[in-house]
Amino acid sequence: MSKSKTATGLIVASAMAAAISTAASVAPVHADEMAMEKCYGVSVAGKNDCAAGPGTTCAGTSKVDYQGNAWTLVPAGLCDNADFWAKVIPGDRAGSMEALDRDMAG
Amino acid sequence: MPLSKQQFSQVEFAARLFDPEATAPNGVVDPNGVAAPKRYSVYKNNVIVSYLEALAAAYPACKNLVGEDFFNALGRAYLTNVPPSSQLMILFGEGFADFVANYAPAQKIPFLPDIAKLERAWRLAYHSADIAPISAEKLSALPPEQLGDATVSFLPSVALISSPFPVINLWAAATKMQTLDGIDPQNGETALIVRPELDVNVHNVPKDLADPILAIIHGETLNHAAEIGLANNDDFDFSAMFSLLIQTGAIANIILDTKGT
Amino acid sequence: MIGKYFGVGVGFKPEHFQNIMESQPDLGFFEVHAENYMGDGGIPHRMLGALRNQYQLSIHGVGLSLGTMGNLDQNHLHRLKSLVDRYQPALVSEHLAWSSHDEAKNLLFLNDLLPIPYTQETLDRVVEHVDQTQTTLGRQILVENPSTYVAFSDTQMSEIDFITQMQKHTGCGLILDVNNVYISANNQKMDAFDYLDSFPTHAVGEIHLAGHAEDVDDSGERLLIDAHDRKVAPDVWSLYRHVIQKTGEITTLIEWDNDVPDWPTLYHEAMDAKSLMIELGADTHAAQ
Repeated sequence: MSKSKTATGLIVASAMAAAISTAASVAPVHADEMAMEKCYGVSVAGKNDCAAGPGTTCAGTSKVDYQGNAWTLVPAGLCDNADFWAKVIPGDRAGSMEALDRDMAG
Repeated sequence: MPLSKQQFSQVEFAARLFDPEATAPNGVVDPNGVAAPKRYSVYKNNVIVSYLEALAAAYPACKNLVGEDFFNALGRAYLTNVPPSSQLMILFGEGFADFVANYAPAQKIPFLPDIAKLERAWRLAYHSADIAPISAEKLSALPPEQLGDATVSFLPSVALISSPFPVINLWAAATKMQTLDGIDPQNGETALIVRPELDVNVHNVPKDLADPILAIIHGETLNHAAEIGLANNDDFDFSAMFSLLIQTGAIANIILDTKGT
Repeated sequence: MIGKYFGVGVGFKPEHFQNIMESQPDLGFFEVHAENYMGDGGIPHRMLGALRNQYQLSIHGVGLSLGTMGNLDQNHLHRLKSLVDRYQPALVSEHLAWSSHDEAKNLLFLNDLLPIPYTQETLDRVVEHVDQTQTTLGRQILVENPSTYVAFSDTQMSEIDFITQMQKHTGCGLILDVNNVYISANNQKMDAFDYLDSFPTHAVGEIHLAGHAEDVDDSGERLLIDAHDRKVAPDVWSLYRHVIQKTGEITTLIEWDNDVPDWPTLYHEAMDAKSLMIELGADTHAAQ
């Protein structure tokens, strides 16, 4: 199909008819009975409850804990992966800033 | 209404809960009438720790990506900047992606905001209203010649996240605590989130469908979406896009243009 | 008169759903925290609907903030009303505590049950809020006695006097949380048996039992924390026995919110409460 203005307006009825019949053939079928089975074993995140927190009087509230400054912290989870970051480097911030500087100088 | 003495003390009691340096407010004592900062800190602990846990429950992939210390530091900054304003802990974490995107120490992980967006969309979809996708019968009954001018209403769970990073692969790996080895960080992905029944599905959508689908989500006609698709890509296949939206159960209804054209 | 007897129940946890559906345990009811079912749809409502088809429900709010010195959040009150209208629970309850306040129209939610000083001013406020809640819901609610870690220098009356007056002025029912009594008695240097003997038990519609953790306060003295993370302590069972001996059967709940155990362990706790009532001749439904 061409990219011209006239053609883009022409998602003609025949194409729409084809789209509808294809779509109707793949439409999901509902089965509430089946859905109930899926309830099993699903865990729920965030929740309200009326119990005190898991900690003690000092857990999470000591000064030391508060001073966990994100500036000084290095991500230590899955992100701590040299192989992965090696591939990020070509597009990283420092690289693009350099390129920008060169462009402006030229 | 003038602030009463008690009203003031509740405000003070609350403000100090989030302040690491703050001791107990005046008048908060032990049974002997002696100041009791450690007793007061039980409440500080409950509030801060419960919110950090709720944030970790809402954004488990983000937490696994950056590790517990970094995530908790991020969480404390988020709590200070976005004071919790809803009683519904099931939906806690509003605005976290935006906060992360603007939080300087998190710039080290440029894809973190998009992972947070995906996790937020997942959470909202999980709790969204139960609306059934459009049925095959209803689809078959649509007059094809009017489809171009039609608009679409989506299930309330539907969200589209288009990222320059492999947001789905990263999210999937991080959720399962799997290594990022083998994931190409340059390979952008578009995620379509749909909850047609009870399970939330995350679909990896071909990149060139992102713009036209987004247009439909924003209320554009199907014709206009097709124009956008074709402008990006000569080989844009309208039928394939439409089938994908139907197959994933994203579409609740097709609204024909009753004004006529 | 003690409220209607709904037997022994447990706090519902989604991870137990399959066990419950498959084993159809001999329980009178399940209790849920209202706020966890204030989403629009999905699995939480599917589970709650399935439970409701087979059991009585108790909806236990934790976020209404009856003890706020500001105004009740009307949005939240109406969310509670929708939930109550939808599931028609046997019991609806909240806490004698505050958890949010509106500051220049911005609600700040603190996600904890915070204590209030017992004064005429706070009593008036709580009475107003309980009245408002009961009027909006069109039914009686139960209000639960708190577990507290601090005292207030401007407190003017005892917790018992406060609760007794609140009940008298509003006609609300009460939850007697026996674990909270044990915790507060320790933390506030009261006698737990005295507390129970002066509690307005005639208005109690439900008893709560749960486990607690132990810590120390500023002066190195034993401070108990309402952790709901383990079995009910032997001392708390003794207090429970004391209440049931006096009052006969009362709807009883086992709460276990942190470090949630497997289903058989939780069910066993509930059966212990039931056995105790049968032993004392209090569970008249036991033969059913």
